[in-house]
Amino acid sequence: MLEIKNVTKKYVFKKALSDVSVSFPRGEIVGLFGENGAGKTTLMKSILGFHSFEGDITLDGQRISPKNIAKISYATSEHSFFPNLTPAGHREFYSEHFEGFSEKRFKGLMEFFELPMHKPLRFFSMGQKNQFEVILALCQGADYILMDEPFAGNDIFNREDFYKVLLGILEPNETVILSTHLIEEVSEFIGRAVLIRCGRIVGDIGVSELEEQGKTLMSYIKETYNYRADRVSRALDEISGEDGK
Amino acid sequence: MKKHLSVFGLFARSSIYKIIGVILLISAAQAFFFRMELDKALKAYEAVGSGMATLEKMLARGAFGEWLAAGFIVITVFLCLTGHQANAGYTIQRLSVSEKLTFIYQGIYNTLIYVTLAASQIVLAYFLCKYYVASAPQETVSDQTLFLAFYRNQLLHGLLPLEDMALWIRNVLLAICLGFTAAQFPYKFRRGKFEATVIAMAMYVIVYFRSEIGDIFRIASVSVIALMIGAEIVFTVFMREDEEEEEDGSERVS
Repeated sequence: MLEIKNVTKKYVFKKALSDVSVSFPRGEIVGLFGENGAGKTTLMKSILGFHSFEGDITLDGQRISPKNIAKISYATSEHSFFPNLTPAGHREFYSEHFEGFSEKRFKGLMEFFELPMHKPLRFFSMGQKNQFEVILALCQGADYILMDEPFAGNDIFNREDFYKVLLGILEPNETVILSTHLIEEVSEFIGRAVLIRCGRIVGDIGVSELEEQGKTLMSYIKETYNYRADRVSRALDEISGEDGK
Repeated sequence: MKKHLSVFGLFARSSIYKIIGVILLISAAQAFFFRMELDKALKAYEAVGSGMATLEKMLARGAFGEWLAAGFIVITVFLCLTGHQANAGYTIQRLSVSEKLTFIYQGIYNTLIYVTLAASQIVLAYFLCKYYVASAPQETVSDQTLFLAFYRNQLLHGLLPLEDMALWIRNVLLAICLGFTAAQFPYKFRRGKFEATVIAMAMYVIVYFRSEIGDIFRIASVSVIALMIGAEIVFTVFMREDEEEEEDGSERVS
């Protein structure tokens, strides 16, 4: 269980996370949603120990440290791989540092996405880089796989392929926490949605619960954020009104 | 142990081919221009019958030192750019080997690169000198020509100080200091800080590397400055860094 208790993260001029408490049991695919600057990335980086923070984050009751950090992997749109190394070089390096690194899964995913094994990553296209970033995160042997906007730059077919593969390969003990703006796309395969706004958790619901309530994920998010559907039309009216001054 | 070696290998694989390429390129340029100048000097000697240019002059006219300086700068840039991306830090900070230890490995790797550069230049200089001795008219050279070149030429003497033990020590200190200042650049860059020590250190080496025999004051002052910079790096990376992070709540090093 990954537990986040009363976590607050302050930057110099801004509180990025405010008393956040949420827990993630094993075996879930969780969507982490929020506007730009809501605190999604800060939350992930706090979990990984890249940020200092107030509060507690524990993994199976232990604070996250170099001893248990390998249980969490991270795929980010910023990319965390080494651009001068080839995928084969990464495979070798990761298998040294992460005991649970799955060579079989790595090989399978590399073949599925048709990525070259001996070409330095810096020569990959943006879409290929994203795919490789996700492959590394999935193959590390982690129990918790954090993904922060991993598909920025990938086309829809590519993303659909990925969702299918993800559902097919995840083990029952693996948890994916996926931060994305592609709400409708991921709504088909996530099991739970966590909503974050201005550094606070404002919604946390299971998809089955939503179905029981007869709501879609998008309608739930809009409702939680008090999104006013007429906002755009009113703004346009004001801008283009006949008496517009 | 393999884990530690793999970190070392990570830095090596990221830059070694480019560095070998630079070393080969400058060596080829040095050899080419030396040969060109030697041919000119031999023609001039044949025409006049005297005044064969000395070995030291050949090296100077062939811009041996300038090519070395250029290669040194390019290699330093490559080393500084190895692992400098902030996002690479996401992986480096999650390894089973601590980030500070990776800094040490990168420093050792860089030091070995500078030693390799120096060694390759010594070998090249030796063969160019041998070539000069073999090509020059016999009346203008002696058994001592090669030996004297490494004593009289400040750059060659700096590279291969022969019995000048103080200079050997200075060279070792410079290589270590350069290696760790170059490792400090990406370490700091990943934290959003620009570390200019490596630029100052590289310029300092270019200006003060040439050395005369027995110039103890200069050798000692360069060595002391290298030691001071080395101490400053250790202090910044291993002590002040943690204090600063505690104070400003910035990115944490695990």
